[in-house]
Amino acid sequence: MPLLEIRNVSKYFGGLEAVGNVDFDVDQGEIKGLIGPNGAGKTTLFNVISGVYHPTSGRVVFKGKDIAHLKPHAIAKMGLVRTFQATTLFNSFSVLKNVLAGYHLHSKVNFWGALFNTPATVKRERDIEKKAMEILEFMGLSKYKDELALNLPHGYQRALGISIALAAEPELLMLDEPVTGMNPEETMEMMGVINKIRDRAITVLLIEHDMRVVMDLCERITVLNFGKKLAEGPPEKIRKNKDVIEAYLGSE
Amino acid sequence: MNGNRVKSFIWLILVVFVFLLPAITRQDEYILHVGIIIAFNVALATSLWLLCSMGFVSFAHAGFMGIGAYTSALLFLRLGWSFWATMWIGAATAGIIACVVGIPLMRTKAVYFFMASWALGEVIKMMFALKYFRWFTGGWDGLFDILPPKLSILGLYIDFSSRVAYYYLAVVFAMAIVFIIYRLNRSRIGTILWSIHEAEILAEHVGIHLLRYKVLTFAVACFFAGLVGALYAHYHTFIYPRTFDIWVSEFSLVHVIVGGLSTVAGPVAGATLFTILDELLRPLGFYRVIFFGIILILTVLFLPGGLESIPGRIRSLVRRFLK
Amino acid sequence: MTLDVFVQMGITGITLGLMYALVAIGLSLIFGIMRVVNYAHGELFMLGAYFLYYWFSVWGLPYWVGLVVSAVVLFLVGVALQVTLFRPLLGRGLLPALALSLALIFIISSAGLLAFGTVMRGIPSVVVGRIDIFGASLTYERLIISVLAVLVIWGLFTFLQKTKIGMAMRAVAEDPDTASLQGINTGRIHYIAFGFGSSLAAVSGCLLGTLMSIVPTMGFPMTIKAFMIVIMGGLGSVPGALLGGLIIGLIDSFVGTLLASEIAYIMGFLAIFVILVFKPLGLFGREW
Repeated sequence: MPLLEIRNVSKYFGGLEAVGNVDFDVDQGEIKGLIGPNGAGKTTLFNVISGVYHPTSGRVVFKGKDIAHLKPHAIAKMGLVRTFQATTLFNSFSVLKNVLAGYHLHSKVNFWGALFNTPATVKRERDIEKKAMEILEFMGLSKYKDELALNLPHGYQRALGISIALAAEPELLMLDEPVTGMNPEETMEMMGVINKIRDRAITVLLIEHDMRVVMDLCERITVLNFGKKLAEGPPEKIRKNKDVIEAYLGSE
Repeated sequence: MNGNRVKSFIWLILVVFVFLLPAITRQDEYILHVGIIIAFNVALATSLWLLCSMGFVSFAHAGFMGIGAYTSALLFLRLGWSFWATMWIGAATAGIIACVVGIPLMRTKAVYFFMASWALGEVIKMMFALKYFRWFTGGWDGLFDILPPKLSILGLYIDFSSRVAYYYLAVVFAMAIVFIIYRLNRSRIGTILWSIHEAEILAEHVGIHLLRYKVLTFAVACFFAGLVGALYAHYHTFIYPRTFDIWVSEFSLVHVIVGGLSTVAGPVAGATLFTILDELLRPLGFYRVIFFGIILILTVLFLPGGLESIPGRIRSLVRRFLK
Repeated sequence: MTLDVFVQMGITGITLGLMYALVAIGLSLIFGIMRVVNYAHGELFMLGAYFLYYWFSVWGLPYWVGLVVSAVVLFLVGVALQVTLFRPLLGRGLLPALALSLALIFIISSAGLLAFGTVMRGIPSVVVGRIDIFGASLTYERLIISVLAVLVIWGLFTFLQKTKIGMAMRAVAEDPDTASLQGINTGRIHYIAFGFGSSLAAVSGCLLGTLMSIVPTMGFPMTIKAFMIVIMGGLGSVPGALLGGLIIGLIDSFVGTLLASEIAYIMGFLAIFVILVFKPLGLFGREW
């Protein structure tokens, strides 16, 4: 059974169709790509999956459960976590604190413990801090741990966004344009990181514009255009697909 | 770290000073009165600050203070219950009503929240004033003879109509409230509140149940406001709807803004300073309100971090000077 | 209830509603264009009224001229406020602007109390005589004032739809980034909007002050009403503010006369509260 199933999902805003009858799967352990020209509906689809919007019709099934009408925090609790485009961070927090905040789901929040700083609470927070530092090292951010998020260079801000998502210990990680705006060096680094994330048994679904990245990283790709699914398959097939080429050329 | 030691030391001195004040001033009635009002204002401002740390500016604070006050007063006057019970019931009532009202209220956003809370505060005040309930709540005329309590435990007998006794009562409660809110802010709960403030959508996506935290925080803040209300009612012995006018909420907000929003020191400093200023400038009548307005404008324009940012600024000025 | 009482309440309600609408439209304009909440808007309403009072009742200068001068003076005051105080705070979020307007209320209403005293005053009528409608009396004064209010609102609406500046203002309200890309000087539009908004409040103050008594503390209750109306009608919508104003005016008149003014007050607030709960962005409002 696929980890995530999108079944005939449509999203209308008033009379405008942003996403029309889209159908695809994400299998456990794969890196799946979601591509399409600007305005194709990719981010809207992400928003539907993560619970920001309710689909106008269709089903979103995660781990066998229909999550279409759940709120984002409940969906995150089930193990489906997404990132946002760079500037959505806890800007006034340090890098470390950003990741600590991400650990919400796996830290028990206890009123009395908070009040009196009980040894149990202290130990719990220390454990979380250790795990947070692990993530920062994994993402290459550990030397910035005390830096304020808003002072981070752009490329590292995206890495921080992913770190926060990782702290929520996802089973499926949805990445929203992880390399957009990065230079070739940073892009290579990020691709390596995404592969390593998959190696940690986290399934990845990503939106990206950079075709090289998508072709190199993803095992399967879904292509959207004008809110509808245009094509589906492994990179070699997509690369040669006439409709896809036209869609991208046409939008230039 | 050095900075933290200094801060703890300052707080310690402050606490000691507050406890020794009656002795230092030889139990001067007026100074003790001001001290009590400062304690109330500090508690109100700090509880309002808790809400502000989550990004919610509430204008209903005075209303909930009123709920606590009226509940305690009415239970005392009509049923003869003891203050030690009515005070907590008053606070709890404020908290519960805040929970109930909070569920729809916390769905509103930014600008609209403050207007809705404003509306709420006014409606609460009007409820107390309605002539239909006059036989019960005293309408615009208010309630009188809300007596301070007496306490006899372990052979000790304390009559709280003595100003010194009430001073210590108010101060102990204010300190407890500030301490609780301080600890909440420093803990993971504080991180949650600030993350809701900073980037609500991100907070939601790491699993934070927004509505639950918003409503609970609102309820806690209003609980404390209700507690202060009850304490005030039995101190002043008289309350009427205008006691809980929108101005009270506004002044608390001024305390928070001028004091600073980052730490608990902000509302404490702001409330203390302004209450003292208020007393000192009282003979000036309307000029003093104008003065507050000017200070507020100057703070907003030139000292955005508020009073609590002053030590930091002095430090960096000194550093620059020494270079 | 007899017909003449009903009609009388209706007349009062409509006139009141038009006055409220003027103030609300001014507030909505400022908010829609600058995204700034001016909590002190009602104080400008109060200042407009007192200006006309001094101009006409105290110095004996012509009423209609005074009305225009009051509008102009308060326009300039609005511009001054925007440029010196509100503009530097742009981009710092809700709280600083809120604090600023709070401060302005403190200052302006207290200064008013000091300068004008606490005694209620009135601007005497310029026109005498009245007509009877279904047994209720409609004074010519009230009629002229209502017509004037409608003309001002209609004039503003046309201004926004037809003139260059008006359309620029709407563009900025719609999407400030696109507007500035199109070459619109958003800074100028901001202070013009603030000026116009303040003018509208002032005109309302003059007109209402002629019908009813004025006190330096009347600014705040008017601000409350204006907010109620703007929320109902939707931030940034002129027709919405007009409709909302009339609704609140009629509620105030009917409920206030039949039951109690406090109940009218509560009802107004409950209405806001309920509307915001079901439509968190107001009746016709948009995302802010």
